[in-house]
Order: sequence, then structure tokens, then C-alpha cells
Amino acid sequence: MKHNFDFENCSPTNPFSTPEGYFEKFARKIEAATAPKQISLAQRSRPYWYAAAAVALVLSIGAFFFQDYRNDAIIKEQAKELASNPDEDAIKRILEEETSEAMIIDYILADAE
Amino acid sequence: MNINRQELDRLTLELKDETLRHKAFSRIVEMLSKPIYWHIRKMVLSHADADDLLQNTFMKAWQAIDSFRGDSQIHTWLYKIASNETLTFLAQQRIKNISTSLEMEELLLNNLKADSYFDGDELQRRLQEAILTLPEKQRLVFNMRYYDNIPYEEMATICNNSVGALKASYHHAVKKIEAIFKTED
Repeated sequence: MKHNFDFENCSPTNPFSTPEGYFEKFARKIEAATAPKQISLAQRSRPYWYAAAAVALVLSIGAFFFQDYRNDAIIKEQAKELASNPDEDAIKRILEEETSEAMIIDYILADAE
Repeated sequence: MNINRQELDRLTLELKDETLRHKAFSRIVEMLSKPIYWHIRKMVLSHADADDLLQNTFMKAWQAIDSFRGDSQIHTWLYKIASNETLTFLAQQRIKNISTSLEMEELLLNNLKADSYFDGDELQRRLQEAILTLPEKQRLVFNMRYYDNIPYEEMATICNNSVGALKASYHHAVKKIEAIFKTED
């Protein structure tokens, strides 16, 4: 059987086919794959959470050092009071204010230096 | 290629607007996935490989959409990406499976025989076998001209080649295929 191929007179025919509905499914697949990503409320507010955490951290550090400074001031005040008026009432009152012995010793040693 | 050029031009402009970009691109996929699929399919022959390469083509185009400046038509740009993807795939297949072009031809023929989505008759199967004997770039040129009737000027942009060289390449391809048929008869 002869199969001469005549380019002049033989019109090109596409011999291939695809599964049913292939191009429609393909278009939907690409549309979904390229769709802009929806950002959730949690993702959108994430920078604000980071900022709030940073502010809280700075405030905590500040409060810690302020508390330390305030304790020093109280100790100094109490020690001064003790030195100027070393009566039993003053000692009692200071002890009632829960100033520790160690704090008083620290102040006296510091003063001695 | 039966493409509504006016609509494509409008969609190409819309690609530059971020709010319209996704919708415009989706419409371009609807319009051009068919011709680009056939362009790829005639090169790799199997539906599964053509499907993967078509997807890669559009995803790469989407990722590089900012680099599309409109120097060429959008369909020419997509054909170019598809051609590069296909030629790269065939080169990788060659390295992965085989070392000579004869073996590559056999692999593609086996793909064709195994593919259930080939509806061609005996003459068309023989034509596909004859086309497979051409070097890959010449096959690309032959398919674009013979099946899709793409103008040489557009082919020149897609293939980065001169019109004269493409005309010569097509002419030689036709002569080779005719010679194969004559030898077989």
C-alpha cells in the first residue's frame, strides 16, 4: 500500500487529542495557582503584635531598673533616719516596713567606704 | 492561529495594572492554552509531558510578568517560553535516558504509541515518525509552519532566528520528509 505524502495537496490535520474538558480544567488550575493570596486578620495584625511586645519589653526593663533605684532611695532614707535617731521605735518601724537586714548592712558598708 | 488580537492587546495593557492583572492573565490562559498546548504536544508527543510543560510555561510567565515589557506580542512571548521549556525538557530527557538522537527518536515514538490520546490514521502516524527524524529545532520550525501556519516574522521572534534561516530550515524539513516517504514507498 502506497502512502505518498503530498505537501501541496494534503491539508495539515492535528492527529492528537486530549482528555475530555482538559483545557477548561487547566484554565481553572492556573487561575487558582496564580490567585492573590488572602491575608488573614491574624497575619495582617502580626506587625502590631510585634510592636506591642517590644513596647511591653521596654516598659518591663524600665520598671525593673526604676524599682531598683527606688529601693536604694528607701534604704538610704531609712539608714539616715536610723543614724540620726537610733531609738527602738525607729528600728521597729523600719523592721515593720520589711527592710531587710542585708539592705541595711549594705548601706552601712557602702557608707563606711 | 485564530486569536482575537484586539482582546489580547487590551489584556496585555491590563497586565500592567495590579488590580486587573490576575483576571487578565486568567483570560489569556483561556485564550492561549490551546494553541500553546498543541505547539508543545507536537514536540513531546505524550499528553502527560505536554500537560506538565504547559503548566510550567504559564507559571513561569506569571512569575516573570513584570519583565514582560510588551516589546513583542503576549502570545509570541508565551510561545517563546513554551519553546524554551520544551527544548530544555527534551535535552534533559536525552541526558537522562539516552545518548544518541536515534534512541531519543525511539523513546518519543514509544511515547506516541503508548499515548491513548493519538487519533491519527496510518498516514499521520507515519508523518509523525518522519517528523521525528528531524533535529529538534527544525521540528519546532516545521510544526509551527506546517500545522499552525505561524508567519515567519513571528517565528523569527520566537526562535531568535532570521526569517531567511527559518524559510531554509522549513524547506529542508519538507524535502527530508518527502524523501522519507519516497524511500518507504
